Amino acid sequence: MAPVSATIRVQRFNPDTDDKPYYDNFDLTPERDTTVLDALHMIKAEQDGSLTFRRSCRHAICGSCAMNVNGHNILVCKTPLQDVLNKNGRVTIRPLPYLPVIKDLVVDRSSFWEQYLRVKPWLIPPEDIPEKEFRVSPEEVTALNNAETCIMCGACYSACQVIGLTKGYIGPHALLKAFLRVKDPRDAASAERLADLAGSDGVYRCHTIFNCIDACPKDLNPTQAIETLRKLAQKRLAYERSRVQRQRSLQNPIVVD
Amino acid sequence: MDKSHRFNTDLLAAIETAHLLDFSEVIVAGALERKESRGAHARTDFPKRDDENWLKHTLAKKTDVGPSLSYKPVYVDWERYPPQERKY
Ligand code: FES
Repeated sequence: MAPVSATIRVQRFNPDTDDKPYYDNFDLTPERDTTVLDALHMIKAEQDGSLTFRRSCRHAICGSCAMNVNGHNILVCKTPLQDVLNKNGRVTIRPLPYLPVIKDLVVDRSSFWEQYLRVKPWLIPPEDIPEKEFRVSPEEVTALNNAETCIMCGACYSACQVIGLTKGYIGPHALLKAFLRVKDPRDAASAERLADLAGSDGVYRCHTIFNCIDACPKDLNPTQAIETLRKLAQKRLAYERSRVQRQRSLQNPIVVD
Repeated sequence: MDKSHRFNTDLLAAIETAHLLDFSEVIVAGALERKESRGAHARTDFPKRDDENWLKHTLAKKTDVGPSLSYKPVYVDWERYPPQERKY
């Protein structure tokens, strides 16, 4: 049974008018299927229109609603309120940690996107592109470990203590994307990418704290991706050459009859 | 109500609501005029697709008395992809 009433404790802060962040409590009566995002919407519509948060798709695909709920970074749109209420029917919602607060639950993600661009997240195709499509084997797709399903919500980035303590670390989100491109059999710049990633802001900065795995709402594994990149970085030239071999064999598959 | 000058999503929602109203009017005006059914545009009074008269884009221009409609031909590669009704 849903409890009669829930108390939503929200961190508020408007840097223009407030000296420091403070908490507001809002009481509401949730339905059994009310999500944490629904609760925020109810508060904004019925109690305080100035409560500010980001959201868009409300089904866990746009990545805009990552927040810190009871100390964990989650997507509030895919989390039922009942799952996060404590036995007194209370929940605490704060903005993503380690990022500057713009207002209330909205954080400045500039550094997140800057680091993302640093790894050149786009595909760099080889000069000799195939006449038709690029062939990619099922094994090569499996080896991506679903990394392509990342929605760039920032939950891992803002859960990473290295991000909190070190300026310039590329971060789990961008390293996962770099992993995706390095393992992408259509990408021709893996050696160059691996050389960049092995720099002082890259894969060796990770302390394998595993917070990113814990935070990821899509069950991805940035830590493992970083491990893989470390290994590949050791033999990057050989790795890039082997890609060309793989592509050739896919273009002219050996037919066994 | 949010009266602040910073990341004011309340104000944003108000502006977007006005846009929604503008576009609702455009959609309704275009749909009333389009006397056929095509994809998500489904009319019980004209249940069939009518390529002869309606294989064209609707353009709407904003005027003081509401949207004013005009039409533009659809580019079709008749050779390779002649249009046909979708059946499921
Ligand atoms: S609102 Fe889009 S991911 Fe939550």
